[in-house]
Amino acid sequence: MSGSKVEIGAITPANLQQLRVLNVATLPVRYSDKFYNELLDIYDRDYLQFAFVNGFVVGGVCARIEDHPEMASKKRLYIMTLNVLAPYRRNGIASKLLDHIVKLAEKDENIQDIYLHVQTSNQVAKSFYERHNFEDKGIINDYYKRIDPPHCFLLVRNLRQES
Amino acid sequence: MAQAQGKLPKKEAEIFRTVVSCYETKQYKKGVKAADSILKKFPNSGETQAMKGLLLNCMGQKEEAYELVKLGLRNDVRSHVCWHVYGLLYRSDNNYKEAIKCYLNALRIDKDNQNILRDLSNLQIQMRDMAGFVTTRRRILEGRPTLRASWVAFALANFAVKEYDVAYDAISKYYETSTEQVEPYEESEFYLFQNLCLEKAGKYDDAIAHLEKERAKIVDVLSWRVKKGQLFLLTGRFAEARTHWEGLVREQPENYRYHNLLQAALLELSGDALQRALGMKRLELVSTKIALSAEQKTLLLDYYTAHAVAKSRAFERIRLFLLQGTAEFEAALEAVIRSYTTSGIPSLCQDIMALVVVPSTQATETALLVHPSDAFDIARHPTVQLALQITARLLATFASAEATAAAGGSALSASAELWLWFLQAHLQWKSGALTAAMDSIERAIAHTPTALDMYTFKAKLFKAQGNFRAAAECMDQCRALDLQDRYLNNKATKYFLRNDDYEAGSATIAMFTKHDSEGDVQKTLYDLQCSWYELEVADCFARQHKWALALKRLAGIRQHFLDQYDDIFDFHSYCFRKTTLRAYVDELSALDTSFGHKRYQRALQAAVKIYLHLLDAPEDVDGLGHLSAADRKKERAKVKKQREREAAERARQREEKEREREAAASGNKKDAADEKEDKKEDADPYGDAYVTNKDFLQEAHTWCQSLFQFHAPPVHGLPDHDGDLLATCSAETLALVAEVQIRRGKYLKALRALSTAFDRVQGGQTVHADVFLVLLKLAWKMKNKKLGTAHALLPPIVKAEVARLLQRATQTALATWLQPLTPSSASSSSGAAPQWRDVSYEQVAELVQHLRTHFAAAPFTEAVVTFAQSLYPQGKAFAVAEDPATTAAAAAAAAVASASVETLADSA
Repeated sequence: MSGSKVEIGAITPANLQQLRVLNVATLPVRYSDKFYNELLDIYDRDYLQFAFVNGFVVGGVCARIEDHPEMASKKRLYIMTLNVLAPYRRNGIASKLLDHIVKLAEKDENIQDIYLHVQTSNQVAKSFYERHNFEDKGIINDYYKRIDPPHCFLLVRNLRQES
Repeated sequence: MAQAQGKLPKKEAEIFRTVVSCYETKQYKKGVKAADSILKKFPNSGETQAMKGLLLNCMGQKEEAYELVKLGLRNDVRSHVCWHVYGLLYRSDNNYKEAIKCYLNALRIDKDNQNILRDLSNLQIQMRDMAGFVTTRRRILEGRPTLRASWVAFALANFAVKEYDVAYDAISKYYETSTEQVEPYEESEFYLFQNLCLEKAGKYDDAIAHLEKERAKIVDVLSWRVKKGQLFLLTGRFAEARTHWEGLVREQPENYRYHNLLQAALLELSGDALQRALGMKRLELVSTKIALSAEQKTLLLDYYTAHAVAKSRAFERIRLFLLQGTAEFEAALEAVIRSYTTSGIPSLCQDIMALVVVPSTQATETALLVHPSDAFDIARHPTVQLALQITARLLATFASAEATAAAGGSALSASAELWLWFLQAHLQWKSGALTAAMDSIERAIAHTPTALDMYTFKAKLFKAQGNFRAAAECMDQCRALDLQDRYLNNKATKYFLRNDDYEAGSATIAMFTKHDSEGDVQKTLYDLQCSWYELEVADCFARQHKWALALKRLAGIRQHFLDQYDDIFDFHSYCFRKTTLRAYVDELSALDTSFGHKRYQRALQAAVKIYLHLLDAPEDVDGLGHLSAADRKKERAKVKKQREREAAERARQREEKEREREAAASGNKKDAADEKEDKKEDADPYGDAYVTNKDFLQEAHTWCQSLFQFHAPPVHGLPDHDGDLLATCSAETLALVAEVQIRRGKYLKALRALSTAFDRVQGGQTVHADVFLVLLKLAWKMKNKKLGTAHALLPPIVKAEVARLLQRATQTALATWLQPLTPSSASSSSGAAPQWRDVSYEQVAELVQHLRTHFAAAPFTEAVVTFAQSLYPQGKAFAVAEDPATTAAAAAAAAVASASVETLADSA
């Protein structure tokens, strides 16, 4: 972005509350206290990152490694949240965050693919992921409980060539 | 240590020498044993008793030590050893005054004892007894002319009493007589000190010649150059001065000291203006501090435009300041705002406020400029108004996100919008528009809710509005966003304390205090001399009428300053052996004004206010003065029981720890640590010692005297220290000093403090409200016929002076304070929202308090209170539940006060 550098930095116990502020400002879904309390303890911290501009958090990504449902002993990466504060969008910050975790995942040979859910009303997000080589694998009906519309797209990006 | 006189037989005299050497080598136990062996045979040997006392003192047995030393002195009053020991004993307790007396007695018996002379000279410089110091150092020099320290200290002593020629010659003589090898740096310092002597003596041309002559020997080249530049100015050699300072500025373009004197050279300042330029501190400059003429400003502006140094912030800022009032200013200011907000520099508002100056109200020979502290003046300053316009204009460009995108690269970055809101909020706050500022900061938080600085400022706004609870909550919320930030932690602590929540405050600061799990956080903070915290805690307790606890904290702060003063004691003789005399001279003068430090002044004010309150309402000593006598008795019984319970609980915990320790202890080593632990226990957890059986007036007086206690009476021909020290005090302190003196019946001293406050303000200006009110009291006391003889004894000049000050104050005071408070006059200013002269809730609350106490019957009082309440709707209520008795008393006092104003003003 013009004039200011974007830096990626870890989410830590000391700045964890900023994730809550970021999520409240940008996501329709409200996460429970439990989510924040557990986050840093139960997930790999490499996949929990903030984007900083001029020293302030303006975006973040939270992803977790899961067992692959179809391939025994293999893993996949699930992106729980990827968000940027509204005034800072269209500056490549989300791409930078996504690239950061994609590169990490590519290095881990166990991870086969990356997937996530996007609310069906969020066309901007959907096209963002499609630009980043995610494929639309169809709609899951009634995925969300408390927000409208409750449906979502399932988006997947394959990291490995089929052998 | 001196030898024993021939009173003891040879064998015992031998042992006595062992005792002395044991003291010198810190073998205290062995020394006591040896002393006992002499005392067995000669139980009345005074010198042995004294020495034993001194040894016991070193082992912590103070009472026995004093008894033994006094006993020894009785047995052998003609012994210089006994007097010397007595002096050492006092010195170890930092009782310099008594120690000096003892040493002088010792010297009467043993005239040229070098040890005693040396110890005495250290005490004299510590007490700033300069005349005594010079005499003692002369005697030392006569006795030990070959030692360098003798010459150095002698030179220094003469420098201190302004005998600069003697000081200069002493250094020269030392060189002539000494064959000692001197390090190049030490030699360099000697010459620079000599040069300082010439300068102080006013021999500027000689000083320049001296610098030229000794150039090769001076290794501190920068000091040499700076000094030469100053001397060029002092001798009026402006062309050379200009070239000289230009050279230094080119090398260090950010050094404001160099810019300052370059400006003095460019403007060819002399006399008082030049002295002011030379005395400027930190970032002060001739251009920002002295009211220059239009021609002078143009001259400087042309210079800074023609000689601009790329990327130098100092050049940029100085030029921007000078551009004010020209057509170029707006574009320049906008460029700065754009660049700073894009880089996200939080201090932009401070940079803009540095441009905001108004003529000073101080009476000075050279007209000065000051930064206004009053929102009324700030809001009307054209630079502030312009900055607000530019900010609003730039913010408008963000109104539509698409417009920003369309503008492409030239648009300000997203974070610039955040900092523009932040800047706008600050400018509005400085202008006294608190509601607008709150709106702006809310916009900033909506823009970037993770920006910590926004929350700290929002909390500050809540505080300014008097909403301390919201301020504390907001600051704590901000603290939670970054748990590693000590600054946020400290701020949250302070805001909790402002909200009278001591529990939350002390718990918050404890998160960052390093201490073992059993350690006492408050003790740790005391050891760290964390005086900002102690002050806030004291104020917090005082607001809750916990006087004793507040006084305890304030006494702690006083101790920090006393400790600092005591710490320097050991450095005197060190400095005499070294040659860094210039640094030593600076340190001494810094210490001379250390009690003028704002933290000390605040502590003093708080303590004196409490003691004065207790003097008026002794029944409120435990904060229960508002109750009826019967209820108070009941409540006191309750408190007593509660404390007994707490003491039992502490004892129980102590025992528990003891048991744990015993269980855990494997070796004997732990015993020492345990003993220490026990000593840590606070003997006075409720601070009772500060109020029980105390003469409150005496305590208040002691606090006031602490400003002067380390100063011997003024030496003839030297500046008067008391006067100097009064000058370092704030107006509030001076008012309190005067109030205490009035109550002690010392009207002349009271008048002196008040005059010092009056001397600072110019003709049409108002003195501080506190000063005025105390003056009223003084005037009334002096009118009161009941004073009888005391009144008659007052010199007529005092009465005349009081009348004069009173007339001067009344002409402007009430009108100036009260006029902006009335809604009609506030809203008359160009139809804008009502403006307040001062945004601080605390100050408004204080003023309301004053009005209530002293002008309760006056018609304007309630109008003012209503208006104040409307300004701070969320603030704590200004209305206080008063019992009818005090209201009536206040009304009576007010009638008296206003009567005295009229009569005295008329009679003057």
